[in-house]
Amino acid sequence: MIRSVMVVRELRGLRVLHLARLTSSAILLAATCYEGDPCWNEEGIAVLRCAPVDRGSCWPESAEMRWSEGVARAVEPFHVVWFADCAELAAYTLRKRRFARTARPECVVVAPPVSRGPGLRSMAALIEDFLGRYACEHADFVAPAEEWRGLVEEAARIGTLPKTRVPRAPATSPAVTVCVPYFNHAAWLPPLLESLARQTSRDFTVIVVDDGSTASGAQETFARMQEQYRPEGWRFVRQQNSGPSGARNHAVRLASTEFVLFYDADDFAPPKLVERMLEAACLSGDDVLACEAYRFAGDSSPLDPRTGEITAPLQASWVPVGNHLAASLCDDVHGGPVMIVRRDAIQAIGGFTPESGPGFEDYEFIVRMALAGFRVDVVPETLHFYRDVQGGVSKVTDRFSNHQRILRNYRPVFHELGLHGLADAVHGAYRALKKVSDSAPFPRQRPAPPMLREGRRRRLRILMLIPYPPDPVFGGGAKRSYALIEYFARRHDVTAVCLGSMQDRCAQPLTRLCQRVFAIEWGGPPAKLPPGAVVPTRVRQCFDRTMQAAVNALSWETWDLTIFDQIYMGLYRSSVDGFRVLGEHNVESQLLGRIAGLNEANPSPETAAAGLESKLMGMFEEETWPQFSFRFGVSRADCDTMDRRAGRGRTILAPNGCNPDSEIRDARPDCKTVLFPAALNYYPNIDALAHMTGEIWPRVKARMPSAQLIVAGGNPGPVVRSLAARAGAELVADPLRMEDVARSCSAVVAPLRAGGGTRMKILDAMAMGLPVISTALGCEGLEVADNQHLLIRDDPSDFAGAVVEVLTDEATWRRLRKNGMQLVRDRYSWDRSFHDLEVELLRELGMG
Amino acid sequence: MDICTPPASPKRGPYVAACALSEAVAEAVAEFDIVYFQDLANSAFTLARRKRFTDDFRPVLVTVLHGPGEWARAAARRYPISASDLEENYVERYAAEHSDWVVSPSRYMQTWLEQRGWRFRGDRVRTVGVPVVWNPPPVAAARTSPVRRILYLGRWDTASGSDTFSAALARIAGTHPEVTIISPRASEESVRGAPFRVKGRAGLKHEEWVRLLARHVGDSLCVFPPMADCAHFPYSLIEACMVGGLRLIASRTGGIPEILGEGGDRLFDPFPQPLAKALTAVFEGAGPAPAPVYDIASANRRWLNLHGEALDSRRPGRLFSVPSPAVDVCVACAREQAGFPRLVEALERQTGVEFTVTAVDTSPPGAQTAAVSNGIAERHQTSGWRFLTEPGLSAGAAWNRAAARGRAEFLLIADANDLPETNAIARMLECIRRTGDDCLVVGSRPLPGDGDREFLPLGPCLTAAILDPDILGSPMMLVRRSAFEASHGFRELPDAGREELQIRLGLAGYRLDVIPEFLAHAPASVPGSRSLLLETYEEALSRRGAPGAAKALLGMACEAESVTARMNDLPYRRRIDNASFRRLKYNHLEISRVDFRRRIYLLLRGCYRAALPLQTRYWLHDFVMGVLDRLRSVRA
Repeated sequence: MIRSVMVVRELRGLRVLHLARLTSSAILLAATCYEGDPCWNEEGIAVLRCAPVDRGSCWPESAEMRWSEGVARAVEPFHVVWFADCAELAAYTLRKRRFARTARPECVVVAPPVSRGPGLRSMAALIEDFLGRYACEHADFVAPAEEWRGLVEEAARIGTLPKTRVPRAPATSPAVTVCVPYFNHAAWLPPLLESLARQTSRDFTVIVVDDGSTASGAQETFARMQEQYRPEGWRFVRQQNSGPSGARNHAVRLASTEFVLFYDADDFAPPKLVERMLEAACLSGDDVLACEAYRFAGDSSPLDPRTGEITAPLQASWVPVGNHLAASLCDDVHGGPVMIVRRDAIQAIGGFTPESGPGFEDYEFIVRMALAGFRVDVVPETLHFYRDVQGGVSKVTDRFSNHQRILRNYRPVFHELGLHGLADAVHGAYRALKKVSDSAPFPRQRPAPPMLREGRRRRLRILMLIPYPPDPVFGGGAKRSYALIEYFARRHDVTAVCLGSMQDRCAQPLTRLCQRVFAIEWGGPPAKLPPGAVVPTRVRQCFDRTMQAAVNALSWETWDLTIFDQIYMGLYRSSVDGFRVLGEHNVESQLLGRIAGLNEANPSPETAAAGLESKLMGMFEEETWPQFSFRFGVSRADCDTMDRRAGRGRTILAPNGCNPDSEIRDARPDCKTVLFPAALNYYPNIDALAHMTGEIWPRVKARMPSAQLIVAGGNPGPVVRSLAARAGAELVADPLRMEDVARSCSAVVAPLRAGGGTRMKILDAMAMGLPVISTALGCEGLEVADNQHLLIRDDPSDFAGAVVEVLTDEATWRRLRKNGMQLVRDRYSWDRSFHDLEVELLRELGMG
Repeated sequence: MDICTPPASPKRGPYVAACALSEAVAEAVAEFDIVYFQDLANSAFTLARRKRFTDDFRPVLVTVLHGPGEWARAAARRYPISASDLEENYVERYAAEHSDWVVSPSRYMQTWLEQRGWRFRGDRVRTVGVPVVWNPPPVAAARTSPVRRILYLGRWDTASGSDTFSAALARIAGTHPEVTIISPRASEESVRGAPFRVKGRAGLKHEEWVRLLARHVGDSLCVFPPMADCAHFPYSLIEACMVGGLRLIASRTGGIPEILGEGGDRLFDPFPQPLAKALTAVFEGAGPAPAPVYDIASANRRWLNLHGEALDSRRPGRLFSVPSPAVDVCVACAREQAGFPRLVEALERQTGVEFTVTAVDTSPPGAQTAAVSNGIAERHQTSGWRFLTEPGLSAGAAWNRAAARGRAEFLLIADANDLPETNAIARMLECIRRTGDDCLVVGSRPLPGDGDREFLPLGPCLTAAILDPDILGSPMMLVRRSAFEASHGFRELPDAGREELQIRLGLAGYRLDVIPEFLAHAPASVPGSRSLLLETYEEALSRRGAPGAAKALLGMACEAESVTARMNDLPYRRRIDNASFRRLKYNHLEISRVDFRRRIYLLLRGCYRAALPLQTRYWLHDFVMGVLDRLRSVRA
């Protein structure tokens, strides 16, 4: 696996490494730190290969921890390392540095980690959160990457500091007492004591406490060992059975050294155990240090006594996370039972809790130390060989009682904050999650590995549900959907699911943009409605069984955000959890109400159906909108309507936009041709065309016989064709690019009498540099002024007059062209409108 | 009385089942002199909350502790896993804390709960044991002989000690006599797999099994071995104690030591090894059984005394005095000018209390908003009410500015869209003076034409609010100025809601509560940013060294819920997977077998329930049980 990094070799005698997730802006940011430096050149960029450390079966499971370990190995040769957007990957490096005599890298700079959203949804997420904080606590500098330029000199200065640190001398000699509680482990006590006798350090003594062993041979072995190690000065004492806590407390009472090292009688000590634990304690000044463990089975020694190589096969690794009290509420992440502790710290908390029943006494001990404010950490070395024994205490005791032993220590702390029951609730949530995850018949999608997250800000995983293929050629709705996908797909990982067959010209760019695109064939079997649901026809049509299957299947993955494009997708809301957002193009019920209001005197089947549909849609909207705490609409009026009628949640304005760079440079005022661009299967547009051809265009023709009308758009039906023919207009069906049609036109008309949201055809026309003549309803929701950006006329005669004026008065034409283009440049670009939306979404996700 | 938990209603929020039941109970028992409530899902909640804010001393509320939800879950080896569990905890804790009297059968239960953050008023909590209302059977003077029979007492399940008992007997295999299991539901079938010779005696009534004990008192050993924290003050053990001379050993857990006494060899730690040791000691010793320390007669007497004392009790009313004006009304108005004049009118109509008003208009300059405000300002030039204009401020910042202008002891935080009842301020002030609380919120009804959903916050249940912040509620809030200032007021962020301040006040140890009255009309509250609320929790937790705990609770609970929801959808998944969605490459799904028998059972049960009314089902059930009882007796 490859992790892209920038290496600036030999900058002022130092090897400097910039590390970032994949390529991304962090590399460029790092480059700016050295801008103008004679040592900097582009050849300094290299790729550093590193991989997560494979420890086989490892507890706790954390991909981030394994990556952090892999990175620690890779960055060792460098003097200065900058962690751009991956503070958590610095954790293992910094931990190694804390406990080593030779500190490499000399200087570590991290950018503060970005928030991971409102909740930590797994133990792995909790650990990642901790690693980020650990890195920030122990790095030399914590600064956002934007501020790194100012740190270059200081980092270089630290990079040249002496590399070797000398640990402080222990306060007593010997410095360490190894305390071994012993109960019936006759077979394993001799190898343990032998391994202790072979330690590389002699600065320790041993106290073995027999906790009232009852098994045959246990007392004899104990007596034999006592005799064997008498010359060493090691002490062997007996007591009445009081459990491992009592035995350890007894040993601590007898000890007189500065440090106490706990080791169980059935385990095995590597030769450097005492040396490294003592050195780490003296270097760091910490109060409690645990270490990593290697679990093995069998009665024999896990190490070859001559070579020191590990001979026992690994069962599992145990890499404690460190002092993470929140994760410890769920499970043991602190480490133990092997730990070196300052004796006065043990005395300060009264030693181990003397309780013979439940297990977890070591786990509880570290938690109590951490809650008491003592400094707890983990030496990142395998210094504990843990023998997997049948019938170990934690295996035969009641798990609930064991965990209660841990949780009871948190309760007073949380009670002071009024958070009654928090400890039990966190543990309960963890258990519940573990239970359902373990019993799931297929594995839950694991979070994307760190290498898949790119850039300074974590890329969001977004699922978009769209009611029709987002083909930008056909109609405003599809255009807006396409623009939304395009914007977010450039910045995040987008998976789009849309209903309807997709043509190649649309599918190809989408598949390039999105991670995955699913197009569900239109007209499949309908999905089953919730009981008692009253659903408008169009929503019902969009509630497709295959689409629901797709959404259900995809919902097994973890999504940061799901965008429901329009209310038509509202019925799928129960299939997706997490943060759900509804994007509306119109207030549909209002739009349908307007259609119903057309031709009231002579209602058509369309308008009559729209009346009923409007009522149903209104009810459906009021039921659906409150289900989305976050919505966005195209106009302020629509947003206010949604807020008012939903009663909860909030609605953000994300206005329609256009491509402001689509100006037709050779547009002329004297073409005498007017363009009517629209999706020609959309009733408000058909009505507008009827209005245009029936009432407006004859008046235009009367005043200006040479005027031409072009009707262009997707999916024209027979009605449209007949309307166009009646007016003598040229019909351009399904044009590939509207700009090609508009090139031969001088103006655009939008004589709409119904509609919702805002009309993109007006913005597109302005962007192309064509003056627009519209009704007031046609340009509602847009911040436009009559005579300044376009001409607004509602009366058919005035409308016709305005068309003639634009076609004949060059000054008016130029003024409207200039102002219109300026307006869309200033206010109506897609990037601008979706940028604000993205900012709000990130803020809502706690990543803003 | 037959009172059922009302179902969730769309017209009322938030829904907490225990709270809804307590409201129904409150109406039903209001006329009684004294009401005893059990602590599990304590139905005293609503009455206790109402009584806090009034002078009423009837009915006297007595909460009898015997094992609230927390205890029940611990005994079942479960944890709270949902907001409703935590909300129920809050209801129970609140009701017990504010009941007039709390009765605990044992000192143990009181201590157990206090360790979990329950608070009791020292002068109103009594340890009285449990009443026994039937007379023990006469027992002939027993001659002690070697143990020929072990009588296992209790349910045959893990929590009641079946595993401990079996493991202990396995340790002394071959040396123990026959075992008889006396259990409500243990038949010989259920204990067939037990690794010892066993007889099961199920379905015995109190008198029957006590008579059985009495019959075998001379040559039997009675064992009561529940696991740690799985027995509180077992009634069956007390009944067994009525059999004089019975040799009896029991786990040292719960309130059992208070029944049997700490001295002697009758108690063992609730693990196999100590039980085996205790059994061996009894087999070898066979001495006379010491008398239990628990005295049934004096326990009965204590109950009657408590009843008399509670009936005679009166709560002295008290009111903390405050200088006048006592309240500064702080109003933030932004783009809600339609509501603002209505609010001002409502404030003008307030009765019975002096207060000042500071309104901060945060609307952008120009347009109609300032004109409306200015019109109102002109009307109140002489009344001392202040109308400020600070465009662009967040609501929190506006309230902070308004609060800084006043000097009264209490701040009423209102939004321009809130509409207080005529007596709202006077009533809220009276309540806060009565209780000495630091922050009070009220219930709200919808504004005219804004639906029909009422909202009565549950209260400052801070842990549940991590999962469900709606329970805090945010309509009109009366805050003590000192608490407000010590907490640095509202966060001046656009998405910080009023509940954020409530959480901070709660985390800082200030006393919060809800006046259970609808004193305002308000629009449905828009919750503030969830992330911000979590940050508030996390800041407090970070100071205590446990950052991440709140985020972990929210994240993991949501994840567990969502996985569970998906799991429940498996049969449907199989259908869709077979249909047409193979290209998603989810074909590695292995769908678990659908349990048709359970489905059929659920279907039949649903039909049965739908077909017969509740009373008929009760009658049918009683009839069938009666017939079965008769058959059993004939067979016997």
